[in-house]
Amino acid sequence: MHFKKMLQTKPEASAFLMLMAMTFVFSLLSPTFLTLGNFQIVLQPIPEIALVAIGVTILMISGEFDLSVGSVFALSPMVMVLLMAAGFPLPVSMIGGLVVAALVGLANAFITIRLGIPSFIATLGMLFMARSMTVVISDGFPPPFPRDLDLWWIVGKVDLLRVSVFWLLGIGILLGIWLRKFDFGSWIFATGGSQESARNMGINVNLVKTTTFMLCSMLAGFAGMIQVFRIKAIVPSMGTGYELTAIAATVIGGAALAGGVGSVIGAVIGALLLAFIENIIILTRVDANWFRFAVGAIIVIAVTINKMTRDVAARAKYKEVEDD
Amino acid sequence: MKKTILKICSAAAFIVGLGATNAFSADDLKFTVLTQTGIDNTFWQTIKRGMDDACEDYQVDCQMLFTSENGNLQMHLQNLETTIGQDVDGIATVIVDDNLYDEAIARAAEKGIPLITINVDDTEGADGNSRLAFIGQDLFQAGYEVAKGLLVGMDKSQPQHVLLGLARPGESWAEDRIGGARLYLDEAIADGWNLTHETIDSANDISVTGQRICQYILGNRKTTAVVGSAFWFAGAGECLRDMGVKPGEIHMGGFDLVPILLDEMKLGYVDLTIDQQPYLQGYLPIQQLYFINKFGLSAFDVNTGKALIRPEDVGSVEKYSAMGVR
Repeated sequence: MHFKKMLQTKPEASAFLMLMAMTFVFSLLSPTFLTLGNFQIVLQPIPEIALVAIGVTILMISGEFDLSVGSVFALSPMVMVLLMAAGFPLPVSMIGGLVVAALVGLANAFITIRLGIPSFIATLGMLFMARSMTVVISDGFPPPFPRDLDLWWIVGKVDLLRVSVFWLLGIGILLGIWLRKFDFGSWIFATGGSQESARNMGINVNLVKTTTFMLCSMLAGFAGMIQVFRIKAIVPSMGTGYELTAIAATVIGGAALAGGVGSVIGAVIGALLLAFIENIIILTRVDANWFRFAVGAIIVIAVTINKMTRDVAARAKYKEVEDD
Repeated sequence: MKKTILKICSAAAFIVGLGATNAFSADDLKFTVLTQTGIDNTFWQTIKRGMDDACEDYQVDCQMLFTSENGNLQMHLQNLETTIGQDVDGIATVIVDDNLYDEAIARAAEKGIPLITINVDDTEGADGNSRLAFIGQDLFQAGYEVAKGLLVGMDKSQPQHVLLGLARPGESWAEDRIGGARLYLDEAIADGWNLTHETIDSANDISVTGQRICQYILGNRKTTAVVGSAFWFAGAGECLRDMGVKPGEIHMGGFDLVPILLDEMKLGYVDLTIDQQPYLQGYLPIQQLYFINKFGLSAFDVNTGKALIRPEDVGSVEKYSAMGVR
């Protein structure tokens, strides 16, 4: 019964179980899957997509969506690289990029909260505007990324891992504590659970949502910077489609589309699951034309199993209450 | 038969169209260039630069229409139909599907709007629809040349395994290039090479493509070469270094000149690329459309290139790449 209670109370629990199950199955499908070398490759982009997914998760917990994260993923580092090309030092350039990301988040919040436009639509518009801005500010031809920068502190290699994994861990732990142990975190859950009730409780719902919109954008911008540091190049198309990957990771990780439910660790597990799925499809040499079908099918299966396990746990809890 | 009728209609309508357009002065001419990619495609920004320069040189009014996201063929078709409805004086567009655009192109011909395909043509070429000419690369031949160029640096006596990275399965430009590479590899096998090859969906994002290539190589250690259908494969350089792969251990080749590809060439992880000179694909159609409208001249095919660029050539092309013209 304790196990079923855990499935009910921890939204990421079923995703974690699925991650374990898939790791086991995938290791049987390919002897390469569980090797250190493979994990080294698979984990490289995880901090990038997981940071985006964490931002989307926290925003989703507060009851809103952000479809512009993929574009901010490109816009923010583009601002940074252009500032660097203009002679600004790296820290100043990074702050410049993050400020732009925060402003995008603020604009999303303004359109959603003040103008009453659903965030799905508001951020869809921002998706196009931010992508366009990325091209416009670079005139279509971004400057080459300086390869001689010392970037060990953010993407350097520590044995098999990149330092960016530790950034993900640090940010994830801090945000996880913020969500679970601080009042503001509770307000985020309350706002997403029932906006009206939260307002009646005296929670500044608008402040909560504005904060989560801005945080979501800044995490996307920072994640984009990490990718640019890692691959040492910037192209205006980077991050295209990441909004859907991030939402998929978020949902697989146990967040509810309706808001009020979700966790930071769930987003990271969701990102890991998606990366594992893509990895096993490559390792098992799925035909090129079937690749996307396979990815899509496994995502649907993953989310379905996730939902089924939670439903089973919920029924068990209901029965337990009835018996009492 | 249908194609023949379309061609006759095209020719007749074009002559009628010329009569109508002759009344314009050069300053009034309006040309539209269309693509199925988004504005964030660096390669297409070079085509746009060529178009912008030609439009300034010939003092004509030009517009380039991108789609909101890469590969949105429906939006591209809609843009094409809207453009035809605007009665512009000339159109240059990609044709990335053999059937999707046929009716719209025939309608342009009926209205007397000269239409030239650029960058990607119908796989049947001039027989596929009623476009006037094609300005771009022979994609299939280019793929063939990349595979051929890669094998030059490899040992025929040793087993070789080539990964073919199909950036966008189902889109003719990618299928054609990989098809050409595949043909050369099959010919090499027939010629006695101990060679195998496999195609994967390698995606069209530098990070994702790089990851997929490295994951594939990790699972298939016998891989000795990679052919990319565009430039995104260059993203694999960073993770290959992480895997301890030394320069020259895995031969990589693909298409286009972008900074990351040139960087990887200098680092020894990319053996060659084919420059299809996108600037010309933007400049020449405007020039041709201008001459068609002004002097009634005919459009003509231009193969904008299958030149192999190797590491020793990087120094000479890098400055032009930085200028956004190569």
